[in-house]
Amino acid sequence: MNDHNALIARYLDSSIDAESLAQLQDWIAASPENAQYFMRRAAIHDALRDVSGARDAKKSAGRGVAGLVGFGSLAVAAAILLAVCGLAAYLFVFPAETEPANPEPSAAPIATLIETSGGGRLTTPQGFASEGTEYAAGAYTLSAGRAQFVLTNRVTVDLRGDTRLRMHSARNVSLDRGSAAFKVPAGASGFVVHLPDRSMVVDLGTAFRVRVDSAGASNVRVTRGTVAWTPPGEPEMSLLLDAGQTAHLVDGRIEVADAPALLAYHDFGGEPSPGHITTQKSLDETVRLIDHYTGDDTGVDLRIAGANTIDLRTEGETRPPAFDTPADELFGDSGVDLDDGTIVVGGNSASKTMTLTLAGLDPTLRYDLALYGDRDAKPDGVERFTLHGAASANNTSTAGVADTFNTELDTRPNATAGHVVRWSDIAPGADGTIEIRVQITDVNLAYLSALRLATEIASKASKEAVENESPETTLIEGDTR
Amino acid sequence: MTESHAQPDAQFAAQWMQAQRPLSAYVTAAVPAFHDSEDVMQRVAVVAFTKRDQFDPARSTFLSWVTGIARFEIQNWRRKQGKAQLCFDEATLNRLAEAHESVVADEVPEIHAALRECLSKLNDRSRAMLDMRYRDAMGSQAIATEFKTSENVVNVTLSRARASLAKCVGKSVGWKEGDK
Repeated sequence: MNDHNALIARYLDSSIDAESLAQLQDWIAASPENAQYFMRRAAIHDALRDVSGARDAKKSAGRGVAGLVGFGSLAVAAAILLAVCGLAAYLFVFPAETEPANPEPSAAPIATLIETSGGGRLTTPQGFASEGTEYAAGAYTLSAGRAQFVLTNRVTVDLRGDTRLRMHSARNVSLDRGSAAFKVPAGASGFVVHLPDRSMVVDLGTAFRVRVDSAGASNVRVTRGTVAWTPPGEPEMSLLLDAGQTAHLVDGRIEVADAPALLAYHDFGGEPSPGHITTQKSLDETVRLIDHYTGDDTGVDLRIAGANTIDLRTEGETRPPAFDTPADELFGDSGVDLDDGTIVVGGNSASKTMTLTLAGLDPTLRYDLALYGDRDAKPDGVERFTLHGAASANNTSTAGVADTFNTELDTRPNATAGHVVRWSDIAPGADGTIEIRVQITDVNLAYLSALRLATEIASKASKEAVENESPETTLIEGDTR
Repeated sequence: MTESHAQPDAQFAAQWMQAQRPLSAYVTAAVPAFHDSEDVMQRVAVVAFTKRDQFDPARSTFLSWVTGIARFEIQNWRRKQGKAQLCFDEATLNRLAEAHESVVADEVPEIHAALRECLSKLNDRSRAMLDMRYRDAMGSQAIATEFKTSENVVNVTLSRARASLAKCVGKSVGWKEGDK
């Protein structure tokens, strides 16, 4: 190999010394052809960041990589795109990007472990973890449960379940598997999450959760802000997504699921849940549900009748659902505080039935209603959940379906299985009111931690279709255009 | 952002997306470390967007205009680095900018396309090392550990792989570089 090629290689690898740099500069200065020669190698070096690994990614089932694009340039392109669209601070997804090429992470602390829960084991670059300790860049592996960090730039990171996250810096991480939620303050714009399918999420100040399944396929759900999605190799096809929408790669295509027109969460007691989530303060209170993404008044009221009490027991006696369970899928990203406070009925109380009434529903829409509850105690028999007042519905409960309107499920215990009582495609009827009656079947107790109410996507889409023929779901071929 | 900016801003976005890869190649030539070049690119984007009203298509191409901004931002970056980072001097950066704008920038899309094809022709060992280096952000020492070999062997393998890729890409793009 000629000397100048060795010098170029060392320069591009950032391993050149001062003497060699001077030699390289002299060689470049010797002729315009030499400068051109160098620039072409630099262009290859830059392009290698984009395309290296493409072959493997394309071979991998479920990854759906349809193309490859550049990292830094696209991050900037997205920043520009968002600026162009007048968005203040938000999230981008860039498929098929390269991970950072900084091979030697700094030993300086970048993350402080705030809390671990759920009994999992967390290993850090410095070994097993302890709360309140600062850690440096490197790989963080959680076996189960939950681990929360705050980074030096105030980004919070919430790992859940079997998860491996490599922190390259306080603004640059790679999620290899599992689930990680990020809250990025405005001052930490540019926070980047690299994914195994070679996509990349660049945040400019928002909140989102990223999941990577066992096949390496990724899924991004924005809980606040707006997203620009750039298909693999097609930066000009960037697509803006609103908070609440979910994007993922499916068989080489980017699929974007619309957000429901209305989504509300209600916490049945205990510590108030953060964000746009209502919390039950007393059983006498009628609660006006608010939209989870906007905080807007939904016009829907929730009343509770017949409950024994708001049970404030905590310390693990009431638990959030296990990772990747049906309840986790519906409630896990919401921020609902599920480890304290339930409403209870049954036992030795005179009341054997509690009724949840939802009034103010739009009879022209279709709704999805889900309930989750848990109490960490011995099983005491199933409770019967009955939907009343609906003209029609599909019972989509994840266990104990008795018929269209009835489900029998034991909420004590339920966290491990993470089942939900759920009805989809609910037509509320002309009066816009439905009831869910929770009836014990013996001397058992029923516990409810939270409720989720959403409009069905189809109902929104059908409404839009009347006006502008807008589809409910946008599918983008990665290799089109 | 006001409504009156909407159309020019959309044009700016389209121009930026077209220019970003060639521009990234130039910034990488001046600032080869990934995070550093990323920072410079982001800074260039912000400055270009802020000053988008100053771009005059009658005086220069969009790529030339943003390359000018990049040169300024690279100088700023060098000043901030001080002696901690080995950087090209200004004269060299000017030479590279000239070579880039006159010839290489136009070749960048072809380089990307050719590179994908050429990578498929590499042997598995070289390709795996390149993947580790570029995709997995591994240093030579870490790659050497994976392959149970020495760091020097890794460096030589990577250099040869890149030389092979350059030859293949050059043949595809039509470079006439003589015996260098």
